[in-house]
Amino acid sequence: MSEIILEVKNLKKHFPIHSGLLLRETGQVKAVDDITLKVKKGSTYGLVGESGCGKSTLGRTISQLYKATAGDIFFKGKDITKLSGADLKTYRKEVQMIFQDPYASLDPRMTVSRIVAQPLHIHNDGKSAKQIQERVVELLEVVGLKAAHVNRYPHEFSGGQRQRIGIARAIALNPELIICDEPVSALDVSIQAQVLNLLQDLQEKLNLTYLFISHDLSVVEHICDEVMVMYLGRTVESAPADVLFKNPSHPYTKALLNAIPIAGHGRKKNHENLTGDIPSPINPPSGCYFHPRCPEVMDECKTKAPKILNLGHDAHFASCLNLEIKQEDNK
Amino acid sequence: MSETILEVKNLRTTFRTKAGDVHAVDGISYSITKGRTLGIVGESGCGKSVTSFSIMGLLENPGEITGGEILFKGEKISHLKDEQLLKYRGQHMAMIFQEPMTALNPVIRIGEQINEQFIKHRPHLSSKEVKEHSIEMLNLVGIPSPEERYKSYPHQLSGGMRQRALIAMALSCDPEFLIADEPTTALDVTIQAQILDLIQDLQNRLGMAVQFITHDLGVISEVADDILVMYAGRVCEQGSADEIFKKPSHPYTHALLNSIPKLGHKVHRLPTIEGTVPSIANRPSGCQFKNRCEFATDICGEKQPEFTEISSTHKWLATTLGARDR
Repeated sequence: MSEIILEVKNLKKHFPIHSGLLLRETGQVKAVDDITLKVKKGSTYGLVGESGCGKSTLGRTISQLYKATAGDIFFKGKDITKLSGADLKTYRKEVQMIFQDPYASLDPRMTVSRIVAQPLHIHNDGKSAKQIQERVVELLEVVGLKAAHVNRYPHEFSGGQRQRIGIARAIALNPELIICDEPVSALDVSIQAQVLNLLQDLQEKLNLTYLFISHDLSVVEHICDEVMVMYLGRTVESAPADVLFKNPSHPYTKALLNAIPIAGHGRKKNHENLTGDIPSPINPPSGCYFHPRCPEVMDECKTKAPKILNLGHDAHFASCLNLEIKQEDNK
Repeated sequence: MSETILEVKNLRTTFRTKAGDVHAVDGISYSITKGRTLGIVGESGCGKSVTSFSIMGLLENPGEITGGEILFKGEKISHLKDEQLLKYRGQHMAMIFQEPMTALNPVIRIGEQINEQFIKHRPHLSSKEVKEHSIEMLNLVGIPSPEERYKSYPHQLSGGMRQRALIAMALSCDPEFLIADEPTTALDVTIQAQILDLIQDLQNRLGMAVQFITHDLGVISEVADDILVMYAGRVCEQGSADEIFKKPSHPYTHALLNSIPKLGHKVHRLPTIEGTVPSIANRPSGCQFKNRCEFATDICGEKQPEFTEISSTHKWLATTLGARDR
């Protein structure tokens, strides 16, 4: 059993809604609502779900870009939700992020060397300017760019190369955990494969742990060891990747997998699509959040919220009343 | 033999820039018959959207059609001026765009935006009839409580609903030809599945010919009867969906299919296509794909590739042997 590097316990992140003339707080968006997860060192943990399910908010709360509303985050055994000042700075050195849009996440007025050197300047432990420059060149080569690129600006690069610059910046401080927020969804397929392979190479070389946020289940299956499916801020199902993809239990996971068009399979015959839209997180449905769209809905689902259930093998968890009943019957 | 709706012959679209002429689309030919869906795949910058804009007459300065022709039901439309093109556009040909939020006017109610089609193309309708028709369209594309949604502004609808509204608008005058330019790229998978179903359902009912543009090979496999693979402004392979997926012949098609992670087929490493697309402003001689091709030989730089037919429907741009023959 390898070491747990990150543990999240009952994490909540609620955003207040202000409205009216006096901008009083009139409600809350429960973007992340009671999430628990464990990430093993050196592995890749995938967070999947559709837009608005809270996967990015969860990532940002873990990296402390947002302060948690409630719950704990343990990084290497230490609770980091209360950190501030120098301790927080040290934590941020160990946890870095790669963002989705390589066009928006790089400052267009900074050269590549300034972008990649920025974390090295902020966390400078006595390196001279020359040493930092050397490190920048080394980092660029690690991610597959050339030393000659240092004085260029982001607009001179293609999307895939920009994402490489973002990756060089993220690994500059030898972090242990990298939160990858949709790192390949803005890229063309041939470039996507290059970046995914680079991430895998770096993981092996630098013993990195990834929290990989994506809406693309085929990418998640390819790169992740464990996966959590989220819906409206809550856990729907979580399991090791091979278990989840072979044996999905929750109706939402099944529907998600069913909705993905697969190249070369031709037209799907009479497939059942989910109807309706994802409900607003400001005013989520009662009971199980998924009940208005669920093909297996029962009366109970409308009032009773499901518990998170251990399905008995390989750390496979799901939250569904139907599964609860089935498990009761089996006893 | 069913009726040919659209025929593109040797189309060349050029952007005249200060740095010289850039041929974004460089001599492509294809045709679409009634009731069929042609899928166009390719990566960003391969010219798939410019092709659609050329057909719809939506090219903006400095872009213009500099060669070849576009025929709509046998009539040449590529030389028409804007006013003459209005007879076709919106009426017989329509287009759905990628980003429904930017394609809709944010300050005009959904219903009024659909009304515009009827006011423009069906001037004999009274304003009451126009409203009835618009509500009927909203109903047709599966928007719940259409009477209320008629009065909504675009920001009050979800992404999937906006895309439905856009489809309603495009289909309001029963077009015979529809261009769908990445209509589901901005949507979540469950919503994408709904929209793909809707487009196919409407196609079956109305018998339209559809040109479906996407970079997602999964989506194309779901919707297309025939496929055109584009690379750097040219067609590199075309054939029926089956032929392209089962017997890809051009090394690019082959590599593209290999580089996507496939659900249920986990591999340790993804095969990649090294390098990047050559700049179309400065085309290499010979085959455009040679700098990234694993089978490239000296001949690829010297000889212009030519179309080689594999079957009556399947052909590819070849300099040497097909990928599957090696």
